[in-house]
Order: sequence, then structure tokens, then C-alpha cells
Amino acid sequence: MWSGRFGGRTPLPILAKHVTRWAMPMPLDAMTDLTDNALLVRYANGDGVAAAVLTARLTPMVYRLAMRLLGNAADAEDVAQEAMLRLWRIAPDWRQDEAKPSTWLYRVATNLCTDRLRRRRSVPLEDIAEPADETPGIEHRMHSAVRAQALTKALETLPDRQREAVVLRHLEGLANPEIAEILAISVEAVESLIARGKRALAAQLLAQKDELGLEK
Amino acid sequence: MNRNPEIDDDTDQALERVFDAARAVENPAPDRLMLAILQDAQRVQPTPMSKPEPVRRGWFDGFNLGAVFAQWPAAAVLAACLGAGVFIGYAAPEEISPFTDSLTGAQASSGLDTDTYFSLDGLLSEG
Repeated sequence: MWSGRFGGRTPLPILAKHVTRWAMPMPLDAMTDLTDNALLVRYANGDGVAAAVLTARLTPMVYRLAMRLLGNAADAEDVAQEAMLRLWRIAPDWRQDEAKPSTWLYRVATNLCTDRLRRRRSVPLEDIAEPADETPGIEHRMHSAVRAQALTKALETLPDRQREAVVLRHLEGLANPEIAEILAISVEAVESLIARGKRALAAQLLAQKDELGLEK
Repeated sequence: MNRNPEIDDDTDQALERVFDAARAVENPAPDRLMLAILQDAQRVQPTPMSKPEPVRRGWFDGFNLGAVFAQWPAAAVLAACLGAGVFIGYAAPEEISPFTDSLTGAQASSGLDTDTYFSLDGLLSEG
């Protein structure tokens, strides 16, 4: 069912409503067990329901990554929409043996985020909007939110490749070989980027360990 | 587990707490974004299973001669009919008759058998 396949979130009745007006060659639920590759092939063959399932499955992942790399909701939305648009456009030429659509999307979204951050470099970090605090206002969660915001700021100061490697490894939870595939570098290079990125983060975050509650 | 020898365990644990906090922040994709992405998918979706109808300018444009004459048996039959038509058109009637009689198995005759034809006079004289 929908909820089991999409991280517990009730998956978008609005998509289901939209797709019923588009094309319905196969029931929505019957598609949720198909792989991303299979769905992409179905989409390329004119199946609108496959597009709805892929949208519900992949968009949260791309948006979350963009939020973590950019720290800005409007930019993250733009990146997610552009990355997904590129996926739709490449669908007819998709080669199933090359990569998983999710890995391909991570790569595209990462590159799009890097481009945006490079354009943004001329803007002082202080002028960049703070990520919205969407957590309820109890003390523990406030503390977590402060740490998360501090990490977002610290990540902004890392070189692009270090930031991408650290986010993919420690926030997205990907394995080093997959990160290597996304960044098109060797696994050893990934390990090196992560190590250097963590050292730089540690230097910044531990300087404010009292505010972040990181003392022993 | 600390795999970075230049970071001590305390520092590594502190970093992990920060990562945990960042992972706990939910960033659900807005519904309007999901809908916009689905609309993009619809807009750029290829349609290999349904070719667009060709534009027709007149009645003859829609008549596909290629499909009609595409196969050689059809062409052979057409050529035979054409040859027969030319022969019938140019040959004299007396040359046709033996030919058609040979096809139907009838006896060749030199003239018309008038008994087989109705006469208007006969109809008027009866009754």
C-alpha cells in the first residue's frame, strides 16, 4: 500500500486524484511493488500512473537532499523540480543496466545544488535565510534544531565535494561505494573527503559546544 | 565507530549527536511541489504507443495507395485484369465469342439464337 512504501507519510491523495484524470492503465496500488527502473520504463511507454508512483517515491528524497545541501526551502524546491524534470526527459533513453534512478537523481541534484551554492557565494552567509524551525517548541527539540541549524551553517563553509560526501554519508545514510558512484570518484577519494569534512566540521562545531550542548 | 584517526572518540561522538539532530529534522516535500513535478511528467511524457494522425488535406490524401498495392499477389491480379480489359476492348465480337464459349463450355455458333430473346410483338399479341 501507499503508506508502507513512502516512509510512513500518507502519499498524496492529490497525486492520485490528478493521475486518474490523466491515464490509468494499471491500478495505483499494483504499481507500488515495481522497481524504480521498471516504473521509469512504464512511464516512457506512456503510463501516467508510473509517473505518480515515481513522483511520490523519489521527490521526498531529492527534496530532502537539496534542503540539507542548500538549507533553503525555495531553492530546494527548484532543485527537486529540475532534477525530476531531467529524469522525465531522460526516461525514453534510460539504460536500466547503468544506474538506479535514485542514484542518478542524487548525482543530478547534488550537481544542481553545487551550481546554486557557487552562485550564492557572493552573498554573505549571514544573509542566507535560516532554515525554518518546524519542530514543536519543547526544549529537547529546540536543542536539536539549534544543532541542526549549526550543522547547516558549518556545511556551507566546506568545499563542495566535502560537503556532498558528508551529507550523503552521514545525513542520507548512503554507503561509500554508492557515494563514489554519485560523485564519480573512487571509494578511497570518498573516504578522504569525508574524513577531511568531518575534521573541518568538528573544528567549527566544537568551538560552539556550549551553545550546542556538546560538552561531555 | 570512529574511522578517522585524527578525530578522537569524544569529538566523533559529538559530531554524531549533531548528525542525529540534523537527521531528525523532517523536510517533507510540499504537496504543491509534488503536483508540479507530476504535471511536468505529464507535459514531457513521450507517447511511443500512439503516433499522431497525419494531416489530411483532401479526400485522396487519406487513401493509402501504398497499402492497397503493397503485396505482389494483388499487383499480379490487377495486371491480369488490366490485360483482359484491353483484350475485350480491342477484340472484335466474333473473336470474343469463341473465347468466352471455350471458357463456359458452350457450343460455338455463327449467329444469335432468336428464340432465346423476347419479342415485344409476341407479348402484345397474346392476350
